[in-house]
Formats: sequence, C-alpha cells, structure tokens
Amino acid sequence: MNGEQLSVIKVRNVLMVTVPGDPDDDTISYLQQKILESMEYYEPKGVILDISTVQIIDSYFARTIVETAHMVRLMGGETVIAGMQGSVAITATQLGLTLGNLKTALDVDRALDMLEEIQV
Amino acid sequence: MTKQELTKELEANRKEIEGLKKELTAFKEEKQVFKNVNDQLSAIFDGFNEVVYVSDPDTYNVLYVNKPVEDIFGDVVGKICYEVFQGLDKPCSFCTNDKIFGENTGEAYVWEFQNPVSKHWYRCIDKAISWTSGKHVRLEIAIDVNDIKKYEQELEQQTKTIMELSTPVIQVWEGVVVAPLIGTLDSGRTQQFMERLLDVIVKTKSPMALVDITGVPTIDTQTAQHIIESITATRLLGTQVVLTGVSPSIAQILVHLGIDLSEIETKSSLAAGFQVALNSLGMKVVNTAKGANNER
Repeated sequence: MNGEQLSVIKVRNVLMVTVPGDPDDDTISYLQQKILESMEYYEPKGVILDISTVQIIDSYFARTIVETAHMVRLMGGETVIAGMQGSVAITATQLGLTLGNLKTALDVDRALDMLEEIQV
Repeated sequence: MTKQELTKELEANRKEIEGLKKELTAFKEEKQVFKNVNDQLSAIFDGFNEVVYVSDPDTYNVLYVNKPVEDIFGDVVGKICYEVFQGLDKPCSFCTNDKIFGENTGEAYVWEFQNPVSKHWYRCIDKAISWTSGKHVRLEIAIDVNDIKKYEQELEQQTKTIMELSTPVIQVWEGVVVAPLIGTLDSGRTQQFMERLLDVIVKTKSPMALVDITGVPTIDTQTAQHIIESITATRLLGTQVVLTGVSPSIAQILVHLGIDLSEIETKSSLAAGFQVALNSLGMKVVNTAKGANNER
C-alpha cells in the first residue's frame, strides 16, 4: 500500500483520517505514525478515524487503533471511530475484539458533533 | 443253493427291504420337515413389504429375491443385478459392495436411495452374509421410506420458513429504530437479527436503537448471550441501545442465571425505552389539544 494514498487532513480543529479499505499491517502502522506526527504539528482537539470503507478488521487492526487512541489522548486529543460497517461490527463482536472505551459515531458528521462538544 | 440258504437270503432281503422302507419313510418325513421350514421361511420373506435380495459380489448374479422383488422386476434369479434392478450395462457407480466386504464383512451398511423409476425413497440395509456356497454374498433389504422422506422434507421446509419468519426492524422516529424479538434466538436467527438490525441502523443513521423482548416468553443463557452480542455489535457502531420489554419473569430468570446486564440500559416497557430515546435526542412530546397542559 502506497503511503501517499493515505489521507490525514486537518479540518477546523480536528484531524480527519480516512482509513483505506483492506489495509495491511504496514499501512496501519504507518497510519499511526502519520496521525501522531499530525497531532504534534497541528495540535487539534481530536482525531476522526473514518472506517466506512473498511470491510474486514482483524485483531492487529483493532489493537493498533486502540493504541493510537491512547497515544492521541496522551498528546491531548480525543479519538472517534466513524462509519463502521454493520458486518465489521458483527465480526468484531463475535471475535471479541473490543474497542475499549473508544467513542464511535455512525458517520463523520456525528463524529464532528461529538468532538465539537469537547471544550478545549 | 439249498432251500434253507434261499429262505435265509429271502429273510435277509425282506429285512433289508423293511429297513429301507423305514429309511425311506424317515427320509420322506425329514424332507417334508425341510420343505415346511423352507415354505415357512419363504412365506415370511414373501410376506415382507420390503424388498429383499441376495447377489453374488463377484459375478453380480442375483441369487435370491423375495416376492416384492418378483412383483416389480419379475423372475430375475440368475440374471445380473445391475442390469435388472438399475437398467445399467456395468456395475452401479454407487454399489455399496466395497462397504460391506473386506474388513467390513458382517457389518451392516445403511444408506438412502431414490429409485429413478418409481421415484420412491428407500432405506437400504446391506450386509455380507455367509452363503451355502461357502463364500460371502451381498444381502440387501430395502425399506420404502417415501412417506418418512416426505415428512423430513416438509420439516426442513418448515424450519426454513421459521428462520425466515423475522420481524422487521422499524424506524419509529427520526433517529430511533425498534427491533422487536419474537420467540427464542438460536445462533442462526441471532446472526440474521444482528445483520438486519445493523443494516437498518447504518441505512437510517439512527443513533438510538430499542431492542424489545416483550415477545420473548422465556430466556435461557444462550439466548441472553446472543442478545448481548447483538447489543454489543450495535454499540460498536456508535448507536445507543436500550433493551426494552423486560418482564418480571425475565428479570427473575436473568438474575438467577447470573447474567450481567449492568453495561446495558434496560426498561420494562417499550414506551419507557422510547422516552429514553426522546430524552437522548433532546426531544419531547407535547399535547396540542386545547386546554391540555402536559409535556412528556
């Protein structure tokens, strides 16, 4: 997976990250790196991980996402997972992959609303 | 020869004839007994409704058939089994001889088969038996199970129908969906239920889901686990879930089973759940009738 295809965009005070469908382990690691670098550069109040194109998640993906959220929290931001597909939710539940206390939203709009409520 | 010698010989011959007559009578009696036994056994086998035949596994010759076989196929003893029974010109590809000879000799092999001619389903019991020729031969008893087969197929169809009998997930207000559950949940129906529920939530982008179990008369640990699974999956999407319709008996059963629902919001009625939904969405219901002064 080409690193240039990953988009981490700052919108207002928030980082918009569009996770590509079917990411491999390297891509996921690279994503984490990019997110943290952007956190440092822009100092946004939160990160929205848009996973609406992701069809399958495995334990590595779930673990890395939870890790990343913790790292973002340490750097002063909140993370929201947006747009999870129904089939992904079912699989994750059946495999016992929890996303811990991570916030989730049905779509990016709602994720933005959630982050908006956070006072900086 | 002297007269004495002749008389002696005559006496001896007479005795021998007496003896032979007795032997013959005994022989005839024995023959009759064997014939009776044979006739009785034949009567038994011919009295079966079931098809019984014996064939040679090496030459495929039919060695014995009972009356039901004769009635269908005619007098086929001595003919080739796959020719007269199946109308083929070489041994049947599904011949079960390899399952009843060799190391399996003496063990019965049971299988089901639909006759291409009569279209009836038969349960066939095949076994290798010891024959008077000294070798083992193939014995088959075929029982007409067509009725049972029909019932089995009907049952399968009904089970399928029950699986398909599903309650729809309904959007009752903007942002609120209700998923009523009826009956018990096995893993198959749970999968269906979850997929349906999440599908509607994603489509309608509803941040609130009410899973209603008013129609679930009783609950066991497995069903409870399946419901919890569905709710967990729904929350992963970012939708809030309220479990509604918890009756007194369900409440008792859940506590006695030690099922932990502390993470899930629960209400005893769907209406109460709807109230939670309204609150969560920041909405309220106002009575617009003249003179009325209530808000809920």
